Amino acid sequence: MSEDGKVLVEFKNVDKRFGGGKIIVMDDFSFSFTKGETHIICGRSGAGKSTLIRCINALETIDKGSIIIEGQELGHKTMHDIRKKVAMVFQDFNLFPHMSVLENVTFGPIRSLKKKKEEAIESGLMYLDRVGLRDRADAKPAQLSGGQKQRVAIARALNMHPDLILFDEPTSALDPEMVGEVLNIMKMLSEEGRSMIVVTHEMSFAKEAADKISFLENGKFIETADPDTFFDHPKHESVKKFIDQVYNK
Amino acid sequence: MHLHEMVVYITRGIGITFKLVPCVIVSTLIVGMILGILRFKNIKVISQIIDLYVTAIRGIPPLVILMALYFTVKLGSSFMTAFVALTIYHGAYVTEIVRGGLEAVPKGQMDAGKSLGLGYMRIMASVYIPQIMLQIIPTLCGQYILVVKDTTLVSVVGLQDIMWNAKELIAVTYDPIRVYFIIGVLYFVVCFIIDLIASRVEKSVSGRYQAQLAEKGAQ
Ligand SMILES: Nc1ncnc2c1ncn2[C@@H]1O[C@H](COP(=O)(O)OP(=O)(O)O)[C@@H](O)[C@H]1O
Ligand SMILES: [Mg+2]
Repeated sequence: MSEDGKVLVEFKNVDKRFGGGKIIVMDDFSFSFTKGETHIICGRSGAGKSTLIRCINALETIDKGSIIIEGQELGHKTMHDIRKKVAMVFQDFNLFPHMSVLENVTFGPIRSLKKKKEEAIESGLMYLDRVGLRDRADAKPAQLSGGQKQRVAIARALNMHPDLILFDEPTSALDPEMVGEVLNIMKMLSEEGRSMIVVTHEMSFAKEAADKISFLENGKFIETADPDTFFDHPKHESVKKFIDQVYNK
Repeated sequence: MHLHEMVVYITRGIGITFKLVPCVIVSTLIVGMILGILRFKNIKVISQIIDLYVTAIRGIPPLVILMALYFTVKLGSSFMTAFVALTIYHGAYVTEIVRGGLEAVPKGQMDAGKSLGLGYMRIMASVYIPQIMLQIIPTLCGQYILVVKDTTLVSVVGLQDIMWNAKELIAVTYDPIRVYFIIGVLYFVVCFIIDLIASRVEKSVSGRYQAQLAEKGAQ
């Protein structure tokens, strides 16, 4: 992949606060994400991981600094274009309950990318096949298990043919026995060289799939490393403590 | 005068109600959808204006709106005056019903729509409105029962509705008790039918909801 190595997302000196400035999510935060990478973000609950990745497709606005995506600065005018290129998978799926599985997967391509219906259905079925749910195309989300719902959400993201996929704790709302089926798909996508930014605390996924792991605390990535270094030789005391609490129970 | 003659005479006026009510249902639905959707977007100035409208209407009796329109704005016909007055009045309530419905949709639906690159109006039309429609129908029906009842007011602007005919009839028969009894029964029947529709829908909605819960529970 010749284009790998290209910077896809860049945060430049970004500030983001809530609660009248009391809650710091990003503080003079800079970060660049390279095309083709799988970058995992972890951190304590409330550290601001969700807010950080939601800023990438303008679901949250920033107070200061800039976010540049594929050379375009994220702003009011560019936001819709950028959202078409950046897909997102949410913790609680957010499927459209009144639409069938296939409609969920084709709605974005048809309405937003203005794809032809047949084309969107064909690629939609292909992606549903890849997440193992082609035979549930006509089901309603309410008829699916949590793991199946999240797989549909991934197919919905893929059918947007995105340049980047954001995952916000995609397995946190799942019963334990369903975590594996979702992680396996994410591993497959990572191996394909898709660009992924993933908020997760799943160590198996981190070790197998991540190129980099970052730890968010006090508005900054206080540690960024490859998975082995991150888990085995973290530099910061608070990262060590976090790893002990979360992974070495 | 026989009872059935009286019924026939009064009922002639019900044509106005049957013309007015569907018009007001459609117009308040349009007003309510537009204002409810605008209010839900939470743009400061627009929201303030809509809130002002809704609050004002809550404190003003519909009869006052009707009279105010009748004496200030020349709307061409009594029917138009009644139609506009009832639209202004009930439109405020439908706005609140629509907004309440939109607020009840999980926030994640908006996030999901936005991250597909869709605009606000498209998300409203394809994601929110279809989801709230069934939920708000019972409440809407409750509002439309009030619309039906408020049509008893329109004779004050010269519309020859049931009440108009009733007054005429009383002038000849000197029998207000029977006349108003007939009117009461007529209105009751109309409202009862709407109520029936509402509870049917409510049952089917809550039935579906229960079914969804059962499915979730079974996971
Ligand atoms: N819309 C909001 N308004 C006010 N505070 C918020 C909002 N969203 C998040 N927060 C606060 O910002 C902090 C970071 O939240 P979040 O990004 O969800 O953290 P994480 O995903 O790491 O758990 C938390 O303290 C949270 O309460
Ligand atoms: Mg979070």
